[in-house]
Amino acid sequence: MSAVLQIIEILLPILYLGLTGLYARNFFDQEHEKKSARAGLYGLLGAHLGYLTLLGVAQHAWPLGSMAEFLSVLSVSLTITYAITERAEEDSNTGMFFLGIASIFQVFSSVLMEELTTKTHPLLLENPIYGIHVAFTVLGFAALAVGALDAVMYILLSRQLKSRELGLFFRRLPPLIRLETMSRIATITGIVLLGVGLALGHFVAIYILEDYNLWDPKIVIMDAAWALYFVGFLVVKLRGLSGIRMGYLSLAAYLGLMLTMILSNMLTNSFHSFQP
Amino acid sequence: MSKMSTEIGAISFSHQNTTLAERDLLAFSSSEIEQSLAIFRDKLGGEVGILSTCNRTEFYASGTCAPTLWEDVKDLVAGIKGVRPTRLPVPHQFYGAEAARHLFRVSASLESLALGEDQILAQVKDAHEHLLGAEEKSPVLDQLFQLAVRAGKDVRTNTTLCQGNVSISSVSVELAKKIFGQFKRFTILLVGAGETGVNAGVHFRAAGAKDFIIVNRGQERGEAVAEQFDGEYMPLHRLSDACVRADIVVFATGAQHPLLDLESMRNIMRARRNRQILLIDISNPRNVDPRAGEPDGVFLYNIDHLESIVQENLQERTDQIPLAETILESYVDEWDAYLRARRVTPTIAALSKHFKSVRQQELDHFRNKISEGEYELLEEFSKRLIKKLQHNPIIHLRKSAASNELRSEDLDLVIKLHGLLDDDS
Repeated sequence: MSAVLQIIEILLPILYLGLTGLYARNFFDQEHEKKSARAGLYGLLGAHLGYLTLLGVAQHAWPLGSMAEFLSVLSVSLTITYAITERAEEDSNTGMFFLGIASIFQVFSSVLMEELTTKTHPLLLENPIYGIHVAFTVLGFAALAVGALDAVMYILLSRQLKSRELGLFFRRLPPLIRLETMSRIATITGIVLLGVGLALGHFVAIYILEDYNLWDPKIVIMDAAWALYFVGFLVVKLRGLSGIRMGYLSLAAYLGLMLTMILSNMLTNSFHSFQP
Repeated sequence: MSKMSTEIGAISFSHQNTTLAERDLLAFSSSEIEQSLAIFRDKLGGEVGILSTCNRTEFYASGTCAPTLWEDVKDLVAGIKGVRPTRLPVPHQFYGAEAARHLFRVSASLESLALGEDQILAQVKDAHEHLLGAEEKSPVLDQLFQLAVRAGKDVRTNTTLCQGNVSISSVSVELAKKIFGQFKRFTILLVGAGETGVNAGVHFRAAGAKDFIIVNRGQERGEAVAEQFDGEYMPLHRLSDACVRADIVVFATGAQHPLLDLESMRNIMRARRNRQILLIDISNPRNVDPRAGEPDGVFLYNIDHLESIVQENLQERTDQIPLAETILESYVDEWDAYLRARRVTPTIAALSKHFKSVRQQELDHFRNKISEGEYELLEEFSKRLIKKLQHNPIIHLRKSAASNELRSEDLDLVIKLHGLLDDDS
């Protein structure tokens, strides 16, 4: 089992990067047929979900006990979100952006992934209630990532329209208003989901962990980052910033959140050890 | 290069060889075409088709008349249009494969005033419909127009010749779509109620816009245009208020000074809470100060910007011409193959008739000499026999005609061997 998982861990980033390349080729050259990319997308999703299931079965716990596993779940969540969008909109031109970011998450995940035999999992991960907290948190991060990606596309298209140099982004990307709306909805969804996820995390930990410490730096940093995201979004909405400034802020906020999460994870050995 | 054929002829009056007034004079309405087809056919003694659009009038003919087509129809056209024949312009004339190639190029819009325009294919279809609706059948021109319609579709499917907008109004709509998507929820403001502004409004309405505001110096004209678009009229001094409400603003006035500057645009954007706005300035001189396009969320395009987009799109279309011509050549080849096949069709029909006749003669000889059952067997046997005897010669004729290897001596030999000329007499 361990060998199979290791092979898939090597293959997944390669497949993600390959599929991103395929979508990029279709973005730049519309002559290519799109069926192979869509088949590849579903194949990759199947392989990734299969891998996470195998990992969960092998370690008898949710595959969310480490930063590597978290990034892998984040990657697959983004890919699922994109697959749903592509099917609903019948438009594969945004695939390059979604799969690009999912590839980055999966590359980091595979690099950071420990061998199954060397892994130790806290008992918390075996608790089924913990899954609800995890689901909200991962979906929250994925939604915020979608919001940031839509913001990136908004910025690219807006700059082309402003400069009147109407190139590929003008021809391929969805209308500006749609990107703005999608970014706003995804960001609101992300803030709500992540907020609920964090609150549930506190709730579950209080009742399950004996040595739960509310002042754990990781908890403080993550709560503060979420609060900043939330307040920042409210202020921006109330002040009525222009679309392009909203785009830059959304992107910066997401990058800040991810950086905060990575830094806070570096403070302790395990993502959920919660030791002071 | 395809072998030249003289089976069809075409005469063409278009923007390439006539003035607008001459084209107007020569234009045939749908009812005129219906009435004229039979007259032309009677006069020429062959098949005739007429293609008439706002930019071209063309006559296609098949039969012995083709090489002298213009001389034959000149008086007729002059009579229908009520002018002296000497007043008619000199047409472009095409014969054989060149005539077919010309129609295919027309159908693919390679000959159109606006390269890659879409309407011409529907107009070729209309000409084909008229042909099919005529009392007398036109098998050769029917085939020609069928191929032309297919060629036009093929070029549109397999090239980007007809993609990208090539008019100022359509480019404006395309730009607005890239910012706002659908127009149903958005407001269009027309500043100026002249022909240019109204034309732009018509394009936006055709693209789905519902909500219009018209700002005009003259109230009467402004209100009339507002009524035309089911919109609202606002006087010129309320332009800023109108801009706060609108999402797409089209400036098309004769004002000699800017109607919108940076400061007023900043105020407008503040009032709009920085919602995106597209300013399309198609006035000359410009109605919008170029600096008014600086604030975030303002997308300003003037006539020069739009014209350069039109030119880029036109260049992209022009780049597709070689590919389109390659596609059309395959249809010219198909047309030639059709004509070659047509040349052997009468011989094949005569051969088949000859065998049937011989069979019937022999069957008649036995009719009263054998029983009913035996006669039926003999009928079946003879039917199968002549089918097998005909098979190889017919296949050979068709194949060699299709591959352009059939010599007229071969055809003569078949005719002589079977006495087909005698059969005809």
